[in-house]
Amino acid sequence: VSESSHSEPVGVILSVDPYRFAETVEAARRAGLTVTGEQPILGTLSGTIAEDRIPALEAVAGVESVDRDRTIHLPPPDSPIQ
Amino acid sequence: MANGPMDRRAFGEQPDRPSGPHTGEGAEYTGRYVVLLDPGNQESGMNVLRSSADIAPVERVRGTEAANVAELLERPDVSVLFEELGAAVVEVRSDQRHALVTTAEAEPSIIAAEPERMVYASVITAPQQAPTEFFPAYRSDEEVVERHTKAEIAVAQGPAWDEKKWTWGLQAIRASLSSLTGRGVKIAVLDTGVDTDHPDLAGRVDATASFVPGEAVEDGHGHGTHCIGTAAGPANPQQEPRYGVASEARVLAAKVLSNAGSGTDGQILAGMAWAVAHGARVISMSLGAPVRPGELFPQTYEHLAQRALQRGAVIVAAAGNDSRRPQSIEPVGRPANCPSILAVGSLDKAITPSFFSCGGINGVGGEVNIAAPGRDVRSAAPGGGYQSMSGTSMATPHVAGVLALLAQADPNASATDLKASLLASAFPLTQPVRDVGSGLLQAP
Repeated sequence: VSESSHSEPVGVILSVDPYRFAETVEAARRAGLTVTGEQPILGTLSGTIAEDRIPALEAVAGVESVDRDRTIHLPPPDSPIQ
Repeated sequence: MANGPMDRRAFGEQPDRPSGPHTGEGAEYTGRYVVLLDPGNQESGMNVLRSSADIAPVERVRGTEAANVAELLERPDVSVLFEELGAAVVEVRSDQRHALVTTAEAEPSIIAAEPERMVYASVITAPQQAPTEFFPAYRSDEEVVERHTKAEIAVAQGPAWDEKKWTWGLQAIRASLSSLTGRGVKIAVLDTGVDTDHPDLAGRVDATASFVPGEAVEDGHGHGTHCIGTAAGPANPQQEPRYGVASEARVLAAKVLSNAGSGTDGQILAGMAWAVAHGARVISMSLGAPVRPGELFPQTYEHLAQRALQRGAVIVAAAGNDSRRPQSIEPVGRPANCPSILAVGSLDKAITPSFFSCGGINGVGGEVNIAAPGRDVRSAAPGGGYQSMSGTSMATPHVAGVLALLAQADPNASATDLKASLLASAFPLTQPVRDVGSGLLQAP
């Protein structure tokens, strides 16, 4: 169970070792990640975690990368450039 | 430049000469030179070429004598002067080519001199096409000419595309000349969904999925339907012109962006995994977020793209629309900036970079890999109709469609092979690689 944390949770996406996907996801949970999506076929997952826990998440064995989840915005339909 | 005097169409079509010295698959030059003369002083130019480069004796041709021209041009002992055009096709021995070019350069009454190329009637952007943009042009190095001028007829064509039968984009990428259809190849389009009832698209969609909480796959924005139409619209749409590249490809429509046009990386990952699981050979993502100059690509997307490639899927993504040329050129956005994802820039009808198209400012993956039509692109609209849209979003599905054609042509090709074929077949452009990458997308 993660240590208590006072920083706000942020969205993250991760790539992990696809050959030990389940155990890595479990370890990521223990590091404080709340998993919102898993893609074992590509070895990726998404979730939320307290911002100050990101270094701990990155240190989990089997975690290859942690990036901040960003939101993509298309222009409104009537915008001249899409 | 459309009707420039160096436009070879002005000389009439050159007949193919199967027995000629330079015909065949790879040889596009006739061995002759085309010389553009000062119309008021044609004699000086021809005289100096005769004395300095020993060109073959000159026959003069006027418009009414067109019937003899083909025969005259065939003759290695004759140069042909088209008096009304102020241009000549001159026969010169190969050891005199350099002399001809140097002479042309020095002589004020000669405007340009270039190796003559074989020209084919219907092919707008064929590599055989003649240089048209570089004035004045004096060249003896045929390779340089070839490298620098390949798509210039398309440029000459300019904005004056006839879009009655085909959109300008399909013509520019030569999809209008391809016999391939992408039959059976699966293209995943990750976007705002699709109008599943659109008469052009209904029956083309193999599978749909929405990764947007609370929203069905139906496209409430228009972006997704437009992109799907460009990638895989049918050969015979309800209404002309034809606008879809791979007319028999199968569509996997993943909704990862809401009807309001927003979506998260997490939703996109989910859509990509779904696409790979469904056997997509191409994943088309007309989406992205801006990055700062110097910002590194997102590692997670890169890992994922590598795995998708291993599983046979090529990922293409929009370079982004953040530039405001000429004042500002912004870096390729994410995830197109990943090394293993192809970043697609947008071209205007003049085959020049669109003012909004992002450029290869950041290294390591931040390059534009290829450019495709992205301005005033007509495609399907929700509700069964059509609309024109502009953006690197519109350029991207052109590339996805061509990848499907390549996959059909070589079903055993790996994703890496497909990528390599795509980039190798692109048409080099004179614009900076920063903006157009390998060049103008070309259908096989």
